[in-house]
Amino acid sequence: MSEQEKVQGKQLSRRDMLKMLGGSAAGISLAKVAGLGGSAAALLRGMPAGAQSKVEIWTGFGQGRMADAMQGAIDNFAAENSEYAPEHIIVPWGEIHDRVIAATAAGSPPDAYRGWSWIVGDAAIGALTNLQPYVDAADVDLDDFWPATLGQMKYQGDVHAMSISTIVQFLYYNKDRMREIGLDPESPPTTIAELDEIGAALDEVDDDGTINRLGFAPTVPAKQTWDWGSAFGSQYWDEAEANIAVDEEAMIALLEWYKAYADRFGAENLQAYANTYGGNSFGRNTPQGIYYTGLVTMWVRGSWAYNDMGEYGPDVDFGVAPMPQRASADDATPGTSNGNMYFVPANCVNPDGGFAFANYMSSSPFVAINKALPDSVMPSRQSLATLPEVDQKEGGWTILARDEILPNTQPQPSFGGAGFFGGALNEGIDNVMFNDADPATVLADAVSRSRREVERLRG
Amino acid sequence: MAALQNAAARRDMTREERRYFLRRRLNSLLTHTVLIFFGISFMLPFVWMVSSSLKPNIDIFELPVRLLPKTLRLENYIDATNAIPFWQYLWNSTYYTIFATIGSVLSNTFIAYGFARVRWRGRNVLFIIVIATMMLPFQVRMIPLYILFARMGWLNSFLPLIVPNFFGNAFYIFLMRQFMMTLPRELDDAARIDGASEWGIFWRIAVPLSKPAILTVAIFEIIHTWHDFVGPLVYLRHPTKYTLSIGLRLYFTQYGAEWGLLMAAAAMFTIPMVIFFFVAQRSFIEGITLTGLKG
Amino acid sequence: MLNMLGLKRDPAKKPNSWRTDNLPAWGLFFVFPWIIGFIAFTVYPFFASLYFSFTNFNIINFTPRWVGLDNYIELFTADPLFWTSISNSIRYTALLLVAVTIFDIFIAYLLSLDVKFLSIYRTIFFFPVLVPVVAASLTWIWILNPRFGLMNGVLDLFGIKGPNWLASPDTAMYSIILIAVWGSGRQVIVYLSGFNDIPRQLYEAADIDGATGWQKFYRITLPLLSPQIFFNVVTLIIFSLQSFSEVYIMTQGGPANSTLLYAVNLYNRAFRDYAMGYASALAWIMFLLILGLTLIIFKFLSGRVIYER
Repeated sequence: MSEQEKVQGKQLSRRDMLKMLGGSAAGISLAKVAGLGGSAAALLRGMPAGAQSKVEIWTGFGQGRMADAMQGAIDNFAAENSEYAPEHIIVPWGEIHDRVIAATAAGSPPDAYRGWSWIVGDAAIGALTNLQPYVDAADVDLDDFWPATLGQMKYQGDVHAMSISTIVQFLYYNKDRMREIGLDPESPPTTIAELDEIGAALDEVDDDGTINRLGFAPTVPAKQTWDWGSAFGSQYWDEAEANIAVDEEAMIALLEWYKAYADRFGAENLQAYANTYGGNSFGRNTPQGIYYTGLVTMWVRGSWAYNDMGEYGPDVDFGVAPMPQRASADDATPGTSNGNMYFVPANCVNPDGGFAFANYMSSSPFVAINKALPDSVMPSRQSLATLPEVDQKEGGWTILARDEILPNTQPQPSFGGAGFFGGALNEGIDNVMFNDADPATVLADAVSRSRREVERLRG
Repeated sequence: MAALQNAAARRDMTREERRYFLRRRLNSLLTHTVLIFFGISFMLPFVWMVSSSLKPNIDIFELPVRLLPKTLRLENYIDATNAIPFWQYLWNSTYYTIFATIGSVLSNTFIAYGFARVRWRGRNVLFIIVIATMMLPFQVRMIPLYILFARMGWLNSFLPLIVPNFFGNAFYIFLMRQFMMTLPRELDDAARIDGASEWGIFWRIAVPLSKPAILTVAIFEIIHTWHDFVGPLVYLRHPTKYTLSIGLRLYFTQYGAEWGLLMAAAAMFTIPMVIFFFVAQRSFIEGITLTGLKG
Repeated sequence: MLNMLGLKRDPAKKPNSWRTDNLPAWGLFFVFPWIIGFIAFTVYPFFASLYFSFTNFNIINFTPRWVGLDNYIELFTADPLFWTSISNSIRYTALLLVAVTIFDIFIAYLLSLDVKFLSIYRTIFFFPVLVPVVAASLTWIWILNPRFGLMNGVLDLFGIKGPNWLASPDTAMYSIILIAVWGSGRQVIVYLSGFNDIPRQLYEAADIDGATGWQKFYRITLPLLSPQIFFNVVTLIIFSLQSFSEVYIMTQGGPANSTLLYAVNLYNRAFRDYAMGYASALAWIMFLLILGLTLIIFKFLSGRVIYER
């Protein structure tokens, strides 16, 4: 509600209101009072030439050091681009995509928003502005991006997103806990078998099944299905067929692996353990989170969780390593890579401003140093990822991510329907873990449903 | 009854009578025991909500579970209002509630009068249609209305949530009609003889006499809009327009483990309803009784 | 049904004594806002939704493409979630109906026994209705937390190891029903008013005839409470088949789809997967289901409802 509308609301006396609202004309009068229609908002935004134009930006950076870093980047953008007046609106990560899509349908999306590579698939339903003309006009050096990330930025050959940073997955492990049971903290597991073995040695479970401490479980805090599927040696897409295709042997092995964990702990005990500490948000922003208190010894998350450790668990001695992989699989990779992207939704008011912001975020050294690195993610442009500040980063995570993991990863799926496919696979894993469903059947079902969805989205 | 139980009366009682009273007292004891048991069970969630809202996060994850906080941390309430744009969401919820209630009260009183007090051909057929619309689930309307509102450019505002209230609601129409039917018809006739128009009868007679029903509709609508989750979820698309319902859930998806803050926010969301209930308690109970209408 | 709506005509009056001494104009004048709203917010969506259900389109691109019966065929033959969600919803509705009806009649009965502190008890049982669904759902997630929640904390006092509640497919549905029973205070009040309307003399007369407690309940209470039961049962069925918010907030249909209610699946298809045509087909099946069930209830129960006292 703008200031102006509030004043209008106050000036109306109760009697005026009643008079005005009488009968069926009320709806129309109310529309005037509320005065919030999309067209009105668009009018307000459509400033005369020469003046600053508003750029509405949605991100999920609402708290702590990342909110500060985001604000810093926005301020710097405004300082360097006086023609634009950025306005930052915070929408929690879990909802941002749904909200933007709906706002796009409603004809009032933001001019730019922060999301992930799989959202590029939205180009299939026409939800994104094609950025290729903008990229051409601005003469952006696309070859500077990591090849995997550039692939994710494109839909049918055209750029539809500007990537600011590229995420790879780390295996995080608590060195103190490993020392406690006499393991060498400098040799974390490299294969799935080792991971299972070391994890089992660290579990503390009551006779009634209550988990007190966990060595490792693939569903805590989240399934990370794309990453483990890659670590088991599967791909997800067949370019020739232009549809979903997986390595069945690898995926069935993956499902059986999840099931083995369900058999060992009880699927519901694992679920209860994860729920206790905040489900998918896994207490990331609180010192009581399971990773900061030693309740879980090994876990897989994006590199972005690295700096959380320093902020919320400063006393924990932890290490990072590439994701363990299945020894028998030739095509196994240390998880997937995933671009953090800025998108310009279709039908937004100020696509020029939206692109200017997205391009700024992906290309500015200031942002790389003051935003990407505090978020513990690798800049997506090679020229920025090789700055001295990156090499000098403490803990060596930047080198690990850039030189050891990223070149070996498989890009996370970003085709139209990738989100649906991921959901169907997760549903299948649940079904195997909780209901003892047959992995092969579950996989076949998820794949066939998702293939249909890919075709549906294609229209 | 108390008089019957005094000592003098007891002396005169036969054995059967004594047994009868003993049984009654036992029954009454049993009744209260059961009611107190369930009553406490029903209140415990509130106690838990408030007590958790006062606990520091470190005490939240502590075993054995404590019903009451060991140390009080009132700052949870301040932190909760800072973690999300709480005051803005509160204002949005209030705004939505006020206008939706105005709309419901005006339109349903007006419409119900047409069904209850004016005689005209086709009235009953139309009224059956009104009742039948209650059976049409929200989900059937959700998608076409979403598209309609999107095309009208309304999805950035509260209009999709508020405007339909100005066109009546089957349940409220039904409720008010039933009430208005019970008003004595002689009043209308007398007014008509005095030359009052149909509008005059509505405004001077039906509206003042229907106050209890109007109040009931207002109360129901206030609760409904304050609680409403689906409507805002589907139709409110801009973060600055979120109501507390949406805002609180988003907060949960983001900060799932901060139970102290979450419970503080939940308590602040609930308190206005509790105050409202105690202010309007009698109308509340009467209103609900009114809906369980007979014949 | 006509009786319930108060439309039954007075048999003493002849049908043609129904005077139209006022022009229909006045009636239409008052009912006019409803007619507008009916066309815009009911008739249009009703038919639009039917049309959409035979098409395929997404949320951004509003041009529906005709696909005939494809959506319906897929729904019945190739969508396991359709069957899961429909059976979940029916199970939820049936269990909730039984639980709420028995529990609320029981509580209302106790409250009708001239108990002291009636208004306090009544307030307590009504209180949960005041808690906004989001606030209540979040509170319950925390209460039912298997490790640090109040529920298992209390069970622990009695040496019972509580279940995993919302985290287990075996108990998640029951947890949701438990919460719904907690929030059913409105029904208690309605039943209480029903109990209070039953004339005391009937019981006294039955006492003289030597009727047992069960006989009194079966012969007097149940028939005279039938309008309230009827009302509550019908509204409960309609509402619980559409139930969405609690589940959407608490479990999103999990774990392993054990609480995936029909309305949640429908919402996901429409606003998560953007399959608007498909979701419209789902909505229509839901409508037919509700219509069918309501008609069955009307046929089955309305003959047994006693309105005259």
